[in-house]
Amino acid sequence: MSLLEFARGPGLEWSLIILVLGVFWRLLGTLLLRKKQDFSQAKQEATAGGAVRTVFNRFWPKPQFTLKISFTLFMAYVMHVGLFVVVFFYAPHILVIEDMTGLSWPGLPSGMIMFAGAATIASMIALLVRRMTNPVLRTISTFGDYAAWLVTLLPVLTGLMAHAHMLEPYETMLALHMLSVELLFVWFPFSKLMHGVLFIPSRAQLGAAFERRGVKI
Amino acid sequence: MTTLSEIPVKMVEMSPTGMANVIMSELKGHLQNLLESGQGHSIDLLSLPMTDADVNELADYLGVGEVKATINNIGSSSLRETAYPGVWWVTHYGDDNKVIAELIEVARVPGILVTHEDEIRHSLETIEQYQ
Amino acid sequence: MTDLKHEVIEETLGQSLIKQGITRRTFVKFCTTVASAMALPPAAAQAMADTLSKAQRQSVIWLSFQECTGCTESITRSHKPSLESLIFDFVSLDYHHTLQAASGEAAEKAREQAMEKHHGKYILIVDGSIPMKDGGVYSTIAGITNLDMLKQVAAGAAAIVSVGTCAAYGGLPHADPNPTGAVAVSDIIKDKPIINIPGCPPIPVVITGVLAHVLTFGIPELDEHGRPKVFYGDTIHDRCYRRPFYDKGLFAKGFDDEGARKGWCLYEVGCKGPVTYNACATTKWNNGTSFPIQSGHGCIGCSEPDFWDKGGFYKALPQGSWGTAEGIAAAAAVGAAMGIGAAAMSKTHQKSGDS
Repeated sequence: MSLLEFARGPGLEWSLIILVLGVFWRLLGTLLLRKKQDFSQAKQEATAGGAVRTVFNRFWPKPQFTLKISFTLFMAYVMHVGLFVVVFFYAPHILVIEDMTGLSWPGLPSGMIMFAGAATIASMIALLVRRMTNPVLRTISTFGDYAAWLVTLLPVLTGLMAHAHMLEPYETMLALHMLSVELLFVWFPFSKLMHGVLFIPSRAQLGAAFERRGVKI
Repeated sequence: MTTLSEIPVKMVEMSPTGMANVIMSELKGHLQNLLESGQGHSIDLLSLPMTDADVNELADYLGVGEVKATINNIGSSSLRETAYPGVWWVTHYGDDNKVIAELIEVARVPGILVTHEDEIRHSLETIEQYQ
Repeated sequence: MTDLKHEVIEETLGQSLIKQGITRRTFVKFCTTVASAMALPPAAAQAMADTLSKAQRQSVIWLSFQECTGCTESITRSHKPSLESLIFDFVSLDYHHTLQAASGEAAEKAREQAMEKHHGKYILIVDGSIPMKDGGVYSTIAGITNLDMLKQVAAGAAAIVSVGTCAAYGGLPHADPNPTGAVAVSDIIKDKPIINIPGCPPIPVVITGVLAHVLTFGIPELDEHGRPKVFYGDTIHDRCYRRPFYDKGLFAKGFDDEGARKGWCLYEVGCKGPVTYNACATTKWNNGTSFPIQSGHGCIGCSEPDFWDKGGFYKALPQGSWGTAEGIAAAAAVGAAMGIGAAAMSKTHQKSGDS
């Protein structure tokens, strides 16, 4: 079996299984943990509104912090938006999603995808440089932080290289791209990348807790 | 129901790219060489990135001369002297009258016209039967 | 075509061509066309013509195994002689099931005689795969299995040319579940140079071009799948005239929609062009008339190994191999169970921790 056949076949199949299994495991394992009972008197019983509100308003920093974190904010947005565009608006990716779910939507021209991908890589390099030069970040950064960065960068980098037919033959580059995506899938549930799923219950829980005390955050 | 011919798949015609001028310059060198050494040269038009507009432009530049020859074998071949003596336009057709080779040949006479020794020998052998 | 009584070929190819009524000029035209198709300079055509005509006719044995005869049909087109089929007149085709006059024991004898006389010097051309299961009984000629015949004939060959995807990689018979145990020539013969000319069938001028090259200049440069780079160096995708539509993201979604009518890219209806190496997009078929994509159907990847098992001709390249919905659902269920179990265990631990 060639590398591409493995990447497209058992590699994809098993990495998806591990991804789904891991996400459900960690999500349920986290959500079902025993919560500390709040014995204070509730100012407000209905907390769903607060939960939802916090999930959304945390997408932008509070005015006091905006200037201070502007560099990270900008770079992080470029990274996440670029990633979103590349993953969900590149025609071949839409085809895989359509195959799996039946959903489909129009894609963007290849040139725009390449630009988005390049922007993503540039912002990731900027963020890595910051992590390695800022004294606080350097001190508190762990293997998990650097691994998550690499595991996210590789699919974008190999994807661009495959699309641009760099490092012939094309089949090898395509196989490497798919394998890097499979590595991301397998890494996702067991690392900080899980924030992609956990940010929702995490913010919601915080919002609900404060809403109960009558504080809108 | 649409017919095959109504399906628009042809790309838009492009204007000449300048390849014709490049070939005209190249011909100068080959003509010079022909004069000095007697050595001819062929340019394979199908191997060059030429658009239909380029080929037409080249045909316009080269024009038509006095000699026209047709070879009839499997499919036919057409040889035309251009307005420049020594520069010949050679087109080979396949059995479906499709162009299978197109060359500009710089020579006293296109090589393919010159009868080969083997064939002359064969003529000699077979013509004897008329004695 | 050589007949039974034909034996020693002492005269040169040039001389025998004249006797067959194939003029020198036809011969030169053939060489010019083939040289052009292989991106060789026109002067190479002259060299080809000179070399070939002075040489003795090369003995060629063509073995047809588990095949559909499409490769022979591709090159001969039984209705009228084509320039490509002339290649059969430039060689001494000492054995070919479809083209030879002889049959039965007499044909096998002719083959054995040619093998003996030109031992070490003949070219072996194979089309069709070789079945291996049950001792190879699923394809036999004159009671000899393909496997045995291949080994016997390859032993004295100077070089082997595998024509068609069946001989090159196993082809259709090799497709899942491969009931006859079909394999490629290169899976059996390991000690002779093998040139693969895959395609289902290969383009006629590719077959003749490679053969002409082998006869005159020797074996051409091959890629890692044993294919001549001169014809198999680019993917269909890289030379496809519909590529601008791919780059702009304009795809046909079905075979009769607006995109299809406008001639847009066929990626989404299963075109395997990006991973298929062949000359279809440039050399095309039927003397440059058209090729599948130009006619509105995606490339099926017929010059690649295992193209029948690549997930389906109408499934787009990235589709079809992510597993099953049941598998994913099972994974979700197992993950959920593990999550619930983990939470339960930690709750017990937490409870016992408070005291």
